[in-house]
Amino acid sequence: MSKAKDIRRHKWTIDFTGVYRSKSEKQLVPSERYVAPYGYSDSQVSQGEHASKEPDSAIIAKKSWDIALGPLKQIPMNLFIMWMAGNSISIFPIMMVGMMFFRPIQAFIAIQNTFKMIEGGQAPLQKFVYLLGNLICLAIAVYKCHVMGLLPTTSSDWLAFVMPQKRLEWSGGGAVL
Amino acid sequence: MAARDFVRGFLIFARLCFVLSLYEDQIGKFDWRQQYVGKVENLYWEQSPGLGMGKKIFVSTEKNVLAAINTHNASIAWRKVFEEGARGKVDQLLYNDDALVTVIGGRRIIRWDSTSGNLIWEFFLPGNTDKPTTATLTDKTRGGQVFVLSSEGLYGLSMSDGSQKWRVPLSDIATMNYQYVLQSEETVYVIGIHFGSHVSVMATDFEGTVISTKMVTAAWIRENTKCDIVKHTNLLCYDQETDVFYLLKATRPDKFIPTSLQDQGVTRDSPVTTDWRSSVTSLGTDSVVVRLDADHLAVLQPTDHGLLLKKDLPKFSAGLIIRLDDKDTHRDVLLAVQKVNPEELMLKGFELDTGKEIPDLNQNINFPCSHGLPVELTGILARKKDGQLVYKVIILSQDYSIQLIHKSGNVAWKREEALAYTLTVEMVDLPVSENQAKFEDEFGSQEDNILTMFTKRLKTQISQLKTFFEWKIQQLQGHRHHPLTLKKIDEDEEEEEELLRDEFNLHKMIVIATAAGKVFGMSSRTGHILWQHYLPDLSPFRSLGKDKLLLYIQRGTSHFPHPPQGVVIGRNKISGHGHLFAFNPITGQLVKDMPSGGVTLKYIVKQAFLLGEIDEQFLKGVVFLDDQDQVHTYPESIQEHLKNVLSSLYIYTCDDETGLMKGYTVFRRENKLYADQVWSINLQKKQQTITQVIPKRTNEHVHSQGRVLGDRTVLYKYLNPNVVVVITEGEETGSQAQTQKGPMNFFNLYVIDTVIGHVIFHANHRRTKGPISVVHSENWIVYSYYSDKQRRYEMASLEMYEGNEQSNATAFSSFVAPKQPFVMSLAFIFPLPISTMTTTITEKGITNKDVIIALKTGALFTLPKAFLDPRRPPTPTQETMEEGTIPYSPDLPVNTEGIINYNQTLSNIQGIYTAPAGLESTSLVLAYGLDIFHTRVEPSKMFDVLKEDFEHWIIASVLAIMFLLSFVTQKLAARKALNRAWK
Amino acid sequence: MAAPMIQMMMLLFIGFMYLSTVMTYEDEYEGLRTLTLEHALDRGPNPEYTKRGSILIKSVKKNKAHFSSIGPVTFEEKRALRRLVEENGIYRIRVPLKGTGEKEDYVSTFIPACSVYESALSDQLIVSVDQSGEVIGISIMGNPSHCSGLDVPDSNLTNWNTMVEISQTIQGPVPDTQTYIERMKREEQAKAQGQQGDNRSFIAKYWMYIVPFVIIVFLMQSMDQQGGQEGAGGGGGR
Repeated sequence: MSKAKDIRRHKWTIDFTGVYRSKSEKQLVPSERYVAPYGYSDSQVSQGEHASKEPDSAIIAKKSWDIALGPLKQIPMNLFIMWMAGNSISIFPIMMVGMMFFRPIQAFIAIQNTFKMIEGGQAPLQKFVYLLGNLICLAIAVYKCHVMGLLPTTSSDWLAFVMPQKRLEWSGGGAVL
Repeated sequence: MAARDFVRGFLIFARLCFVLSLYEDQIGKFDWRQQYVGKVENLYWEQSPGLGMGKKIFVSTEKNVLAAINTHNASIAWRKVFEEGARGKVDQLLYNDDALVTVIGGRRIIRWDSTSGNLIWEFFLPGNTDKPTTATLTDKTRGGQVFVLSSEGLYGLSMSDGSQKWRVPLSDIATMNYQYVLQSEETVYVIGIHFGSHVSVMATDFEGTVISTKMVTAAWIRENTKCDIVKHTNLLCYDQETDVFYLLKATRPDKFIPTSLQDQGVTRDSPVTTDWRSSVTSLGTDSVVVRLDADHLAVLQPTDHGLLLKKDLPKFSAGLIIRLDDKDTHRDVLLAVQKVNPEELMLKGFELDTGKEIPDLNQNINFPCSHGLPVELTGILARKKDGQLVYKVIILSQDYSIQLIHKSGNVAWKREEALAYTLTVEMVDLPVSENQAKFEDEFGSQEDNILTMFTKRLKTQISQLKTFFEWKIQQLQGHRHHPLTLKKIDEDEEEEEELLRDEFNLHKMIVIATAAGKVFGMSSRTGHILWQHYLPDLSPFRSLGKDKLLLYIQRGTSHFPHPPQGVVIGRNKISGHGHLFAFNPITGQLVKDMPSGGVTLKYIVKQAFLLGEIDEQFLKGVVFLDDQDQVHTYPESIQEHLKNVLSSLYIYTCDDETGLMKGYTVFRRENKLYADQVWSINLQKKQQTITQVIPKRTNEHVHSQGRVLGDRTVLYKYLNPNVVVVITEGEETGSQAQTQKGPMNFFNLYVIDTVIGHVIFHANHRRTKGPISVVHSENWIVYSYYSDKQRRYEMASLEMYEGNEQSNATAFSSFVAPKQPFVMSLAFIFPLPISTMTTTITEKGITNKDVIIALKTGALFTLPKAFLDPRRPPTPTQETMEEGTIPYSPDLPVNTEGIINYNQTLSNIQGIYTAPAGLESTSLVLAYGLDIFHTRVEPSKMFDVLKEDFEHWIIASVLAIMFLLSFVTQKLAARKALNRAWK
Repeated sequence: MAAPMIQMMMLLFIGFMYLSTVMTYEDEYEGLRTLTLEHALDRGPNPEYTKRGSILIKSVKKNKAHFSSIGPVTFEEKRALRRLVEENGIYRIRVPLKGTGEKEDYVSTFIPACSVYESALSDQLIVSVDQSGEVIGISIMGNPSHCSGLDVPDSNLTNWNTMVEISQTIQGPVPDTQTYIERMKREEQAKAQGQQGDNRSFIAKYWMYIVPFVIIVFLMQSMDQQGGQEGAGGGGGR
C-alpha cells in the first residue's frame, strides 16, 4: 500500500497496468488531479452527449421499458427454477422459494425509486406493467408455496385447532356384577 | 427405485423410533419389580442338618407356586411357577429329611433340590387325573420311599431317583374315593371313602405286599365332610350336621370313635362356621390343634377311646404344638396367639402335658388390624445354651400376609401376599406442595378483582421466599449434623417419603384393590406400601367368569380444601349385597363416618359406575343399579346434583347368562331414582356367550380429531365416547361345521353404542378361539386371538372414521351422529402368545400410542400403534408415503428393544394399568399378576425433556466464551480503528 | 395336449365346488323374513306397545328390506306423539323375536320423540343381523335427526316414510400373506431387473443432475452480466 501511495504522490507517474489502482478508481473518469495521458481525447464523450440530444425521449422510453419489463422477463426463469426445485420441503427448495418471494417484495419496497427512474409519456403504462410483473412473480411464488403444501388451505392445516367434541350423553355400566 | 429406498429408510427410522431399551446404568432407576408367591397352603421349615434349622421356609401356594423364602430377609431364594389352572396346581408339598417332593396337577410327582430349586426327578402317573392324588414320604432310615396314591393304585417310588418300585392296584375304583395315604413304622395304609356308606382301610408293607383290607361303616360321611390325618396314623373327620368328630385309627380300623366337643365341656357362641379348618400343623406330637372358629381353638389328643380335649383355647386364633427336645426328655409345647387389642397380638406358651403357662414365652406382638386375624402359626423352638427358650414363628393371616416373629416380639419381616391377587389398580396424583397450592389458588378463582389478586400474589411470593430461606437454613444445618446421624436419616428417609407431587408428576400413589379384600396404597417411585386396609367382609364380584372389584377415584388431589376420595366396591362375603369402602387415596384415612371394615349396602349391586361429571364439591358420584332396577348413589347427597344431569344419563348392562344387553334411562319418582329399560340387544345366547365387555377409558384425551391423508384432506375420527366392545365366543354348529374335524370355535366382536343400543359394527372370526384380549381407545380397537385354522396368534385392528366431514364439530350425540361410520380393519400375525394387552395414555393425548403386550413368556412388549394401523397399504404409493403409513407386512416385528422389563421376567401377568404422567411424553405402566412391575414408557421418545446426558456445562461455557470473545474482539477492533484514525 | 385339458377341467371343477359351497353359505340368509315392528307413544316406564307395521327382509346379503305400515297414523297416535314431544319424551320401538322360552324376547331401541315428529314421520331403521341370520338389534334414526322445535302440521303426520337397512355381521380381517408375498416377489424381480438392465451411459443415467447444474451455471453467468449492467443503471429492477 505504501508503495501505491508513493506512486500516487508522484505526479508524473502513469500507471498503465492499473494494478495499484483501487477498484473504485477503475471506473472513475479521470479526475482533474490526473493529467490526461498522451493521445487521449475527450471528443468521444462530447460526441455521445451530442448524439443523445436528438432521440432523447426514445432512449428514455426504451430504458424505461427495460425497467418495466424486467420482472416479466424473470418469469420464465422463475418457472424453470420452480420446476427444478421440486415439491419436497428441504433447504434448497425453500431457499429458492424464499428468493422468489424476496425479489418482488424488495421491488415493492423500492418501488418509489424505480418509478422515479421511469420517465416519458408511457410512464403510467410502464409503471403498471412493472407492478404487474412483480405481482405475477409474487403470484408464482405463492402458487409454488401452494404446490409445496406450505399454504394452510386444506382442512388438515386447521385440524390442530379443532376442539374435542363435547360429550352430550353419559353412559355407564358393563357386565352384570 | 427412489421410492423404495425411501420406504426402507422410513422403516428403519420407524423401528429406531421405538427403541425404548434402557442403558445398563438405568436399570432400576425408574422401574421396580416385586415378586410374590400367593396365599400359602403348605409351609415347611428347612431342616438341613449341617446348616442349622430354619434358614429357609418352603411354601406351596394357591397360585400354583412352589417357593423357598429366606427367613433372614424374606427374599425369595427360588420360585417355581406352574401352569395356571388345575394342571399346575400344587396338590401337596411334602418335606422330610431334606427331601422336597410335590404332587402337581394330580399326576406329576417331582422331587426338588431344596437348596437350589432344581428338579431332581419327575414321575408321571399314568391314567386319568380327575381324582385327587396324594403322597407320603418315609424317612431315610426307613428306606427313603415316596408312596403315591392315585385314584387307581398305590405306587412306591424310590426317593433317590424317582423310579417306580412297585404298584398295588386298588379295588372298587368306581365307587371308592381313595384320598388318604398314611404310614406307620412299617406299614402303609390307604383309606378310601365310599360316600354315605363306608370307609375301607388297606394296609401294605413297604414292599408293596397287601397285608389286610378292612371295611368300616360310616354312613354319615359325605363329600363335604372334612377329614384329615392326625398323628401319622389317625383319620379325624368332622361331621357338620351332628357336630361330632370321628376318629379312626388306621392301625386298628375297627370303627370310628365319635366324640362330641359339647360333651367335653367346650362351649361355642356360634355353630362351627364354614371357615372350619383342621389346621394340623404339628405332626410328630401326640396332640392336634383344631380350629373351631375364626378365633377358637381346641387341642385334642387322639386316644383309644376317642378324642380327649387337652385344652380349650377360646379367643385364640392360631396355635401350634412343638416338640422340644431337651437332653433326654422331650416335652410338647403349645404356642398360641390371641388378639388382645386391635393393634396387638399376645403369644402364649403352654406346657401341653400340664396345661401350665410358660411365662418365658409370653410375648406381645405388634399386629396391625390390617392383617385380620392370624390363621396359622408355624415355627421352630429351641433351647439356648443358657437354658432360655427361643423361637421363630411365622404367622399366616387372613389377609394372606406372611410374617416372621422373633423372640423379642418384633416383626422381622412381612410379605404382603395379597398383592399377588391384585384385581384393580388406579394411580392418583400426589398433592402439590403448599406453595404450589397457593399458586394454583391464585389463578383458580375468577371473582377476584385486581387488588386482591395483587395482594395474593405478594403473599405467595413472600411465602415462597420464606420457604426458600428455610430450606437453605435447613440444608446448612443438615450438613452440619449429617455425619453424626447419617444412619438414622437414611432409615427415616426410607420410612417417610415426602408425599408431594414432583416436577413432572412422575411420582404417584398407586391404589391397589385385591381379591383378598385388602386395599393398598403404594408409592410409585419405590413400590413401598404406604397404607393398607383389610376389609374382612369384602369379596370380589364374579362377572363374566372373572373376579372383579371396582375401584374409583371420586375426587383427585387438585381441589385443595376437599380431600381426595377413592372408593372400593365389592360384594359382601356372606349376604352377597354390595359392600363399599371409601377412603382418602393419599393418606389411606377413612372417609368420615366410614367404619373400618366398610359398609354393606342394602341391595344387591347389579351394576355400578362412576359419574362423569363433578358436583359442587368436586366429587364424582358413584351410581348403582340394583337387581330391582332401582338406582342408588354414593354418596347419597349426590342425588341433588344428579337431578340436573338425569336426562343425559344412561345405564347399560350386559348379562352373559341370557345374552341380553339392556339399556336404561334414569327417572325420578317420589324422591327415588329408578331405571327404565329403553333398549335391548339380543346376542344370541344359544350360539355364543358374552366373554368380555370393554368400554373406553373415561380419562382419555384425544388431541387430534382426525387424521391427515396423503392428499392433505382430513379423515375425521369417529369418537363416540359411549362405545363399548363386546366379545362373544361360541362354537359353530350346523352343516358347515361338519366338513371339519371337531368343533369349530368362533368369536364375534360387536361395537355397540350404549346410549341407544345401536350395533355400530359387528364382525365374525371363524375358526378362532380365545383367550381374546382387546384394547379399546380413541377410535380404534386392537384385539388378539388364536387362529385355529392357521395355528398361530393373530392380531386385528379396527379404526372407525366419520369420513371427510365431521357431522358435528362441537358436540357428540349418539342420536345425531352417523349410524354407520366407516370402519377399516386389518389383521396381522403376532409370533408370540399374549396374556393381556393395553395401551399407553398420556396427559393430552398428543404423543403416539404404544400397545403394551404382556407375553406369556413373562415379557412386557411395546408395539407402536403405527404397526397396527389398518391404513397400512399393501403396496406403497406416493400418497401413502406422504401420509406416513408403513407398508403392510403380515407379521408384526418383535424386537427385544421393545421389551420394557428387560430381563425381569413377570409371571402370570393378569393386567396392565397405564396412567398419564405430568410429562406429555411419558406414560406410567404397572403390570400386575403374581408379580408387580412398574416402569415408564415414552412412546414418542422423550421429546419434552432434555436428555440426562445433555451437556449443560459445555453449552453454557461455550456460550460464555463466545460472549467474552465477542466483547474482547469488539474492544480490540475499536482500539485498532482508533489507532488507524490517528495515523 | 391332454394333460392341460385335464388340468383345466380340474380347475373348473374346483372353481365350481368353491362357488357351490359359497352359494349354500349364502342361501341360508336369503330366505324371506318378516319382522313385526311395534312402537310405544306413551311416556314413563313400561309403556304399552302397539303394532306399527312389519319389516319384510327380502335379502340379507343384498341389503334388501322394506317396511310396510299397517295403515295411516290414527288421530289418537298423532295426539299421543304431540304430547310426547311436548313432554320431551322418547319414542320407542321394538321387534319381537321368536323367544327360546315361553317369554318373548325383544330387541328394542328409542329416539327422542321430537326427532320423529319434526322429520314428519320419515325415519330410517337399521336391523342388525348376525352371521346365521338372527336379529340381534335394531336402531332408528330420524331424518333429519336433530330437533329444532319445528311445528309440523297434522297432514304431514299421516304416513310413515320408513327406510330399512340391514347390517349383517361381516367376516373379520385375516392376515393377508398372499399379496405381501406377491409384492415381495415383484420387488425382487424389479431388483433383479434393475441390476441387469442398468447399463445406460453416464449421461443417460444422471441427466437429471447434470442438466440443472449446467443451467444453473449458465444462469449464474448471465445474471452476473445482467447485474453488472444494472449496477451501472442504478440497480433499478433488482
